[in-house]
Amino acid sequence: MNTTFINKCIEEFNRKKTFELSTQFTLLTLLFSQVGNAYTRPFILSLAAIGLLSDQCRKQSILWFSLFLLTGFRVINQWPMADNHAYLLSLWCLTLFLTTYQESSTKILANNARILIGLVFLLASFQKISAEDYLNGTFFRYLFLTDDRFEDFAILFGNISYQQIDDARRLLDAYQFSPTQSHGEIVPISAEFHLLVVIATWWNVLDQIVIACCFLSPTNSLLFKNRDFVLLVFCITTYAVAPVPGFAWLLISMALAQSESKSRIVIAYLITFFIVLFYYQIHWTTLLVDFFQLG
Amino acid sequence: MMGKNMQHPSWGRNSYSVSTPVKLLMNNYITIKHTLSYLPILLFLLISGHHFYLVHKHQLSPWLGGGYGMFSTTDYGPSRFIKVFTLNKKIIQEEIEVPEHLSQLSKQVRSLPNNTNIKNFAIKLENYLTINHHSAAFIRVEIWKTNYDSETLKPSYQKLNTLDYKTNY
Repeated sequence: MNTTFINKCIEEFNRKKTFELSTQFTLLTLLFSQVGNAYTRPFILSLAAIGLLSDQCRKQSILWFSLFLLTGFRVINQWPMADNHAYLLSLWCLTLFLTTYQESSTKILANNARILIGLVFLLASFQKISAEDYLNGTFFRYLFLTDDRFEDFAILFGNISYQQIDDARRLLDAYQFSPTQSHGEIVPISAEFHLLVVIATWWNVLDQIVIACCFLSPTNSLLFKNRDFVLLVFCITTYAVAPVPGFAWLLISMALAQSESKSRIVIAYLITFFIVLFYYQIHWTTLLVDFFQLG
Repeated sequence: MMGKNMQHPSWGRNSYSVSTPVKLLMNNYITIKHTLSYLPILLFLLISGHHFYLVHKHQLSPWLGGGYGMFSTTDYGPSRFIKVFTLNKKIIQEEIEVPEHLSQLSKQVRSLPNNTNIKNFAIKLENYLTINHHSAAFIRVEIWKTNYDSETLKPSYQKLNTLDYKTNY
């Protein structure tokens, strides 16, 4: 692969409008994520595949209306258990339907994308600040010790072992069966683990506040101009650990719709989309724990 | 300078052909179309408002319901649990283990423990008990959440809701 080929690829991306890229990546998100149940998923996958293969179909409002109904049905059918990004995905399909149906300008689509992303992060950061057990570190202390999906990360950076995690879970169970008795210390004594909890707590809330401010601030402000950069940093860091790639892919698809057609930003979003795919497919924390023989 | 009887050069026949009511209708149509474009944002705000209402009034888990409270609190699935008892004359007879086929419904009740959900769950439990030739005058369903000490994670428990369901027995 020589540089001429790469330059040609970049030129091709530059020619594409952000609307086109956003719709393509939304459909890719629907293909990669497991959306819907056994009855609706075949329809969602078929529509996503058809939309990806045909430029004409992708511009049809009926495609986006069908996807809005199917993704909306998932939220209602699973109520109240649907993940938060299920709501956002449905609203995003509605946005794309309204854009294609009304043939409205891409500026309205961009505004919708920008405001929706801003509101998501505003709510997420508000929930963290207002929760009783977030800022004092309880949440991450509990999560790292009880959630299988985060145990390798905790072992890698928190200097704790699988045995200590198993002990913590066993003690939590013991307290549930006999709460009045003392069963021992649940949290492992490790300075690195406590530091990890503090960093995870503050990093998560602060970067979400910054993203909300950037996406909701007036256009032409300094914060507004840096919105894509902060969202990219969030996706690359958070989804390296958080196992919710569907949310990351959706955010990137939406962000593409509101990004100005600067090639480097668009390409950065595309690369990030595939970095998240890499995180999802390759459990890098498990590999590192095995490599360094930790735990 | 235009004279008294002179028309503005841009005024043509077309501008006279559109009457005022039609203009108003067109303006309204444009306003509706413009507002409709932002319908997803309006729905987003309605959903999040509904989420906060359910969290404060009906103990919905902050992780759920479209309020983007995921990864913000320990008050979610594993920290909530359900206790079921059979009662006779308001006295607890025995504790019932939730059967496997009701585990999904049990998760829903734990996540949103309002009276409607608990009652539906109790009806399903009554059917299960009847099939297994087990009867009780009342079924008590309790939903609990776990609070963790910020330093030691030592748990304490808080009852979120309880309902005594009168069976057909």
